[in-house]
Parts: sequence; structure tokens; C-alpha cells
Amino acid sequence: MAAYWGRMPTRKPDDDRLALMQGTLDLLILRTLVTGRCHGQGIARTIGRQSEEVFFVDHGSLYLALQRLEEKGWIGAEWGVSENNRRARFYSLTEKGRERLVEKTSQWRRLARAIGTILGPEEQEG
Amino acid sequence: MFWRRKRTPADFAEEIRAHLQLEADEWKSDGLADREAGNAARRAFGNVTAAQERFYEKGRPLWLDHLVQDVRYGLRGMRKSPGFTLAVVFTLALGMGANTAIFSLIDAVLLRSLPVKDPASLYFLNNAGAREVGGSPPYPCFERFRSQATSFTGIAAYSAHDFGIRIDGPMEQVDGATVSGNYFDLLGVTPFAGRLLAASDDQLDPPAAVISYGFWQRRFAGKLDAIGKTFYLDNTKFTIVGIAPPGFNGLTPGQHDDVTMPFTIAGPNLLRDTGSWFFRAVARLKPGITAERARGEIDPIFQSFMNEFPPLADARRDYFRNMELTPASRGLDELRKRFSRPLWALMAVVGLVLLVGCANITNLLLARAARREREFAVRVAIGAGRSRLFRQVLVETGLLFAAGAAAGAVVAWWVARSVVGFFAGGAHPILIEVDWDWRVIGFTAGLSLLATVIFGAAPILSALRADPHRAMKDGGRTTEARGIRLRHFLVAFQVALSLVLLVGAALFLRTLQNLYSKAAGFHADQVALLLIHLPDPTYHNPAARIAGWDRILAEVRGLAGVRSASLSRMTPLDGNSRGVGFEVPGFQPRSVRDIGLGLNTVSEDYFRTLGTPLLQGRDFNGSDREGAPNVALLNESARRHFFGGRDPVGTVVKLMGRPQYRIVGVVQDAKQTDLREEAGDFVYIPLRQPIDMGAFMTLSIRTAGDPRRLIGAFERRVRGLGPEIRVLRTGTLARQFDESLLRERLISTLATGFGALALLLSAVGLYGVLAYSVGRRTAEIGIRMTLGARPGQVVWGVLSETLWRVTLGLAAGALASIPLAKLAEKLLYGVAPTDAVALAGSAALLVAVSLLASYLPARRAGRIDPAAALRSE
Repeated sequence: MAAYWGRMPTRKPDDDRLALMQGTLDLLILRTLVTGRCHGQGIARTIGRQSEEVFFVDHGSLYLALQRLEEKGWIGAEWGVSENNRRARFYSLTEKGRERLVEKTSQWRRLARAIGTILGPEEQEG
Repeated sequence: MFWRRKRTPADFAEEIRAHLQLEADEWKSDGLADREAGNAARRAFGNVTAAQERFYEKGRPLWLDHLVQDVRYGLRGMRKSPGFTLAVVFTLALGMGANTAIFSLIDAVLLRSLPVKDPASLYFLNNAGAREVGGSPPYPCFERFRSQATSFTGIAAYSAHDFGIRIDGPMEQVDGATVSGNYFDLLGVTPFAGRLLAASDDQLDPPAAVISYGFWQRRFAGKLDAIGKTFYLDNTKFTIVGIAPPGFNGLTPGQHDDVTMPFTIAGPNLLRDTGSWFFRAVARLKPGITAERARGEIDPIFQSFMNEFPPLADARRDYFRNMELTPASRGLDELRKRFSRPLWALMAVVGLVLLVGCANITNLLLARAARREREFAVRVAIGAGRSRLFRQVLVETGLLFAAGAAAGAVVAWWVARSVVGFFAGGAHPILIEVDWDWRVIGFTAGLSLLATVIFGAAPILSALRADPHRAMKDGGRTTEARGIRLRHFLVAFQVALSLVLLVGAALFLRTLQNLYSKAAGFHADQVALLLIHLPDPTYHNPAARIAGWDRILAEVRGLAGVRSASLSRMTPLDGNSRGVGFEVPGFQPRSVRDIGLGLNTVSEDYFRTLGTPLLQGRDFNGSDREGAPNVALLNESARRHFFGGRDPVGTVVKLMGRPQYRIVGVVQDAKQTDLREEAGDFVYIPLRQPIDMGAFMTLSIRTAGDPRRLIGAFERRVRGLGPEIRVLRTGTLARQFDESLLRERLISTLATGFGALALLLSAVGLYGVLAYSVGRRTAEIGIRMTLGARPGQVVWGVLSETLWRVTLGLAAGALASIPLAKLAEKLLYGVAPTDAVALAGSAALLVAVSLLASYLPARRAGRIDPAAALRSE
């Protein structure tokens, strides 16, 4: 899988936001779509906002992930019209995708807990 | 799924455009100006082109892109070296074309099934014995099969003939068949138009006939009003009731049943006769019944019939011992029997030619690979994967072979057409439809692929060995000793194959020559033949018919340029035969040969006209006619067989148990049916004392000059002699002789042609290898000459290098040719497969041609100017 993380937007030049680990983007996309259908740009914004701007989503990678999920049949897509009357391609969660989200979420929780245990109690955060 | 693309790139591009707009909208709502918002959106997105490229590569299989690229590169390479491309494609076109052509003939003659329903369940019911598998039992036995056997869904009778029919004016000769009413239904053939024959047509009330699609096109110009038209066969009026579907031409491969009529026209006498074996029974097995079980059911019926009407014991053993079921899916097997060996032999020949040609191509590819070694090395050095390189060379080679196969199709079409024409020419045309069905296409494609893999492998492997270090160090002048060794081996290989082909050609030519020069018992030159018909009802009266023959003979004998003329029922090698019962007083019959012999009805001067010497007694004369005592002549074989040392002249013999004939002389044997076989026993009776009145006679005329120039005049004179005198066919005895050797001429002509082609290809290959090696060694030769080598020594050095390789090839070829020639032994006549003359002659020819081909490059080596050679480095 291409590991292309793009350039960063200029608004926050030297930011310390984290590039997404591979695989986590898929999970976040699925999570975003739980609340309803959304277009690519909306998904990118939502992920950024919900992670309190910790995560930066490279838009090119986002579309690659969207294609991948669409091919796997976890999400569906159709052209529609956005709130401000722009034509856009809307993605929504399929039944299969919903199942996967549950599965992946618990996987991720276990992983996060395990890593947290190894790293020990939280001490530094800047 | 890599072959399916879910979204088009355009759709994806539009999504990105939409994204950028939405993003820009947000930036604008944050307060940025239009342009800045747009820029910010693009910056946030990152590299748009890269995203699109990734989308493209993801949706599209990479190998396809690479393939297209390789094909483009390969085509460019072909354009850039037209000489190389032309040489390869031309060689392949000849090789592949010859193979495709011969295979398409094999397909048409040997492999293709009849265009009928479920051909695999059709079987012929044949009587068989120790000597041969024959036709089917007499009609009464056939009727017992039909009423008693339960293994079949049906059994039909089939018999093919030629007929003289009258459609709307003069009589015309057509090929046709008589069949039982259930024939078409049993085969599952449906009419193209009208209806086909049915069981009710057996009553001949009124007589009905079906015509073939081809005949309908040819004779009725494809007009549907042909249905309902009538024609006469003798005095019976038939109505055309339908047209058979295109492609269906009856059960006799090589022949088209233009007219199909009810079997019952044979007449009640023949159908009642328990001793007439004259037709074929074809049956369809019921589902689930095996041929063996069906045989077990009909054989007892046959045995009880044979016990009721027993023939001589040896006849029963040799011909009528039991019933057999022979597959009928491809029709009757006469044509296959006759041509299966020659065709497979030719297939082997063209296969070898292709090998010789491909060896040349490998040589060319290797030479090119050597030239391109630097290119490959550079590409490896700058990071091209070897698998990628491999694929590229594979595609290039595949393209060349595909182009060769395509050009070969043109050659094949032409060769196949010529051979089909060869078959269809002459008095007894063999009609073959070459049809490029899936088998032929598959064969050609498979062959092309196989050739690519085998003969493209060496150059491909040499490309894979591309070594950047060595190639760069040598500045592109590598030694490639391995390639040279392989190329010299290929020369020996070509020489060996060519020797095999030349020996084969020589053996076939000697066979043909032997058959031509072998004493046939007659002289074929300068004899014109006209097949004449004096039809009913004008000539129904025997006296009128004999008067007609007399008039023709008298008229023709008076013409200028005629040395002698005669009439006869048969002429040598015309494909006819007729046997009669024969009884000699005091001779005890013990075998089939003792009770019958061949019969020919001839006029006086027949033997003089054909050049068959009279050994004893007298020839017939004009007074051997009705009223005078019946007389007969024997040939030498019959005299020996029936009379031993006794003098037959004066003995009275019986023909067909009835009339008595007095032997008045003995003539030399003359081959009647097959040049390869003995003439057989023959009795001749006079034209004017016939056993039965023949309406067909062949007029033989020995001419002073070329008979072909006189035939037209003869034909006009004969036609002018009386009403309704029909000349059905004209030709010469020499032509008839040639036609009887169709198989031998076909195989020797093609084998010689392909042998010559192989010789040429080998010579070109040898020349190419030597010229290339001399070219590469210019510097070395220059140095040797500077050091004192004389030109003669250099020339000899090059020649001797060739000679031992040619010798090696000759030895291998000689060894291989012996078992291969033994395989073809049945096709030979009067020459052993190990014939020393053929082997030595072919070897000498090969050596001579090889020397010539190597002399040119050798001479060039001898003329190298040392100074110039060294300077050019």
C-alpha cells in the first residue's frame, strides 16, 4: 500500500500533528460514516475536527482509502448534492462495513490498551 | 478483479474537483478571498496528479500497461530493422503456411465429421473376412437386420453411382446416390428447402428425388422453382421434391451426391438377389447400446443367412466371415484409406521444413541478441528488472512469430487451394472442402506458440544473461562464445533435417519413376480417349447400337492422323473393373480365383491401339459378330492360371455359366486397376458378341502426333455421326495414367518442393552463420594475415570449419532418415527405404550446396586487407 503522506497545509506550518498509522484511517472513515452519509471532503474535515486537529488527513490518501473500502464493499457511494448545492460523491456505511467497524473498534481498543500498559502511566504530554 | 474497472478516471477526477470546491467553500466561509481559498484547498489536498495516477494504476492492471508498452516497443523494433523482420516473417510464412495447409487437408480428409446429427452413434454394418472389411450383405440379409435387430434406431441402405439424367434437353452426367427412404431421417438431416426422401418414396409412386445444395446452385442458379422440376433417368420420370442442406453431400468423402433417389430403383431382381453385394448399410445405435453388443446381435442373423446361401469356403473365410461395425461418423473410408498415409507423411515433411526454417530464425535472433547485448546491459544497469526484460523479449519474439503465422495463413490458403485443385482435376475429381475450422486455427496458433517458446528461448535466455559489467567493459564487443557454439550446432541440425527431407524426396521420386517405367503392358503415349454413350431409347435395339459403334469406328479410322482406333468397355487404369464367372472344361475350382476373372468387351485393334502385344493366336476381327461362333481372348495370367502348360487356343469356355466362347488367342498382361499390383486374370470378348449390351464404350485412338491437338476434331466428328451420340469425357491415356498415380505424384511433388525449400533454408542459414562469424572475426583474421597467413589458408580455415559440421549433420541425418523412411515404406514402390543411391545422391547435393554457401563468406575472409581490418578497430 502506498505510503504517501503528502505535504502539510500551510495554516499550521510546523505542527506536531500525527500522520495516521496505516489501517487507522480506514477505521476512522468507517466511524465517521456511522452518523450518516458524507462526501470525501466532509469526511476529511470531520476526522480532523473530531481528533481535535491532532490527526491530519492527507486528502490524496483519503481517496485511496475510500476506493479500497468501496472495493471491499464496506462502504457504498453515489453522487448527490451537498448542503451548499455542490455536486459531490457521497459515501455511506454498508451492512458489511458496520460489522467490520464493530470488529475493528474492539481490536483497536485492545491494541491501545496493550500499548498503554507497556508504555506505563501517562507522564509527559506537550 | 483486475480485469474490471469499477469507475472511470473521469468520474474520479470529477470527485476531486468537487472536493476542491467544497474545501474552497469552507475556506471562503472562514473569510479567505476566492483565489486564496482555491489555493488553500489545493494545498490541503496535496498532489492532485499523483492521486489520479494512483487511482489509475490501482484500477488498471500494471501488466497490461507493460504489455502495451512492450508491443509498441516490439513493433518499433520490427520497423527499425526491416531486413531482419522480413527474413524472419518470410521464413515463418513458408514454414507455418505449409504446415497449416497440410493440416487443413488432414482436417478435411481425415478428421472432419459428417454434418449430421450425433455422428458418433452412426455405424456401417460391414461384412468382413481374413482379407478385408467389405461393404454390406445382400439386400435380403439387410431386410432381416431391419426386421430382427433391436440395437438400432434405424438402418438405411446407401449406394453411390454416377447417372446420366435428362433435365431439360441433352443428357448430363451427375454423381448421385440411391438410398432407402429412412436415410435422411436416420442421419437427422433437415431440408434446406422442400422435403427430403421419406419411407413412402420407396414405392416410387411417383418417383421423387432430392438434389444437393451445390447442384441446386450450379444447375438451377439457386432458384427455388427447381423444386417441382422433373428429370428422366432412363425412362423413369423423377420429380425434385427438395434440396439438401448446404454442406451435406452424402456419405462418400471426396464425392458429392448431387442427386439422391430411392434405393428401390435398383429393381426387384437385384433387391431379391441373395448373392449381390453392392451397397452399404448405415445404422444408428440406440442410446446406451455399444457397437460390440449390436455386432453380437446382427452377426448370428448374418451367419444364418450365409448358411442358407453359402459361397465358396475360401470366399467366406476371406470376405464374408462375420459382421463388423465400422464408425460412420466421417462417412465411408475409401478416401481416408487412400490418403491417410500420404497426408501424414507430408505433415512430417512440412514439420521438418518448419524446424529447418526455425533454426534459421534462431540464428537471426541470436545474432540480433548479440548486437543488443549492450542495450540490455544498460537497461539492467539502470534498474530494469530481469523479469521485465524477459517479458519484453518474449513479446518481441511472439510478435515476430505471430506476424509469421499471419503471413503463413496467406501461404496456406494458396497451397491448400492448389492441392485441392490437384485433387479435383481429372476425370474422377476428388472434391475436398478445406474449411478453416477451430481445429485448423487452433493448430496454427498452437504451432506458432510452440515455435516461439522453443526457438525463441535461446535468444531470450541470452538476453537474460545480460551482464552490465562485462558489456560495459568490452565496449559492446563481447565474445559470446556460447551463442556461436549454439549457432554452429543449429547448422548441423539443419543439415541433418535437410538430408532426411532430401532422402524422402528422392525415395518418392524413385517410386514414381519406377511406377512409370515398370512394364504396364501398354503404351500410354499418343492415345486419345473418348467416353461415348449411345443412350436409350434411340439405341435400345442391340442391332442399332452395334451399327452405331460400327459407324463410329469406320468414321474415325478414316480420319487423318489416326493410326488405329478401337472401342472397349474399359481402358487401362480408368478405375473400372468387372468380374464374371468363368468355367474351363476339366478345371476343378478350389478357390475364389478359380471361378471368375476380369472381363473386358473390346473391338478389333484394341490391343494394337494400346500397344499390348498378341502372344498367341489371332486378334478379333470385323466378322466376329452375331451369328458367327463366339470367340474370346485370354491374357497371359489367365492362361497360366487356368491352363498351366496347355495350349488354350480352341478350348470352349463358359462365361457367367451361359454362353460359350472359343479361345482364339492370348495377349500380354496389361495393368487394369492398379500399377502396383499384378494385372490379374482377364478374358476379352468381342464388341459385337457381348454378354450384355453396353451403352458406354471408350473410343481409343492411337494418333500419329500429339493426341491432345486432335481430340476436339474427333469429338466433333463422333457427335456428328448420329442422333443422341454423347461424348461424356475426353482425355488421353497418358493423362489417365497420371491420374491413377495422383497419390504418388502429390506426395513426390510436394516432398521434392519442400526438400528444395529446406535445402535453400539450410544454405541461407549456413551462409548467415559464416558471414556473421567472419564479420566478427575480421580483426583476428587481419592479425593472422599480418603474421603471415596466406589468403588460401584463411579460406580453407573457414571452409574446413563448416565441413566438419556439415559432416556431423550428414551423419546424424543419415541415421535419422533410415527409421523415418521405414515408416513410409508402404508408400514406396521398387525402392528400399535404405536405398544407397537416394542417400548418397542427397548427401552429395547437400555437400555441394553447403560448399557453395560457405565459399562466399570464406572468400571474403581471404580478401580481408590486414591493414584496413586493424585500422577499423
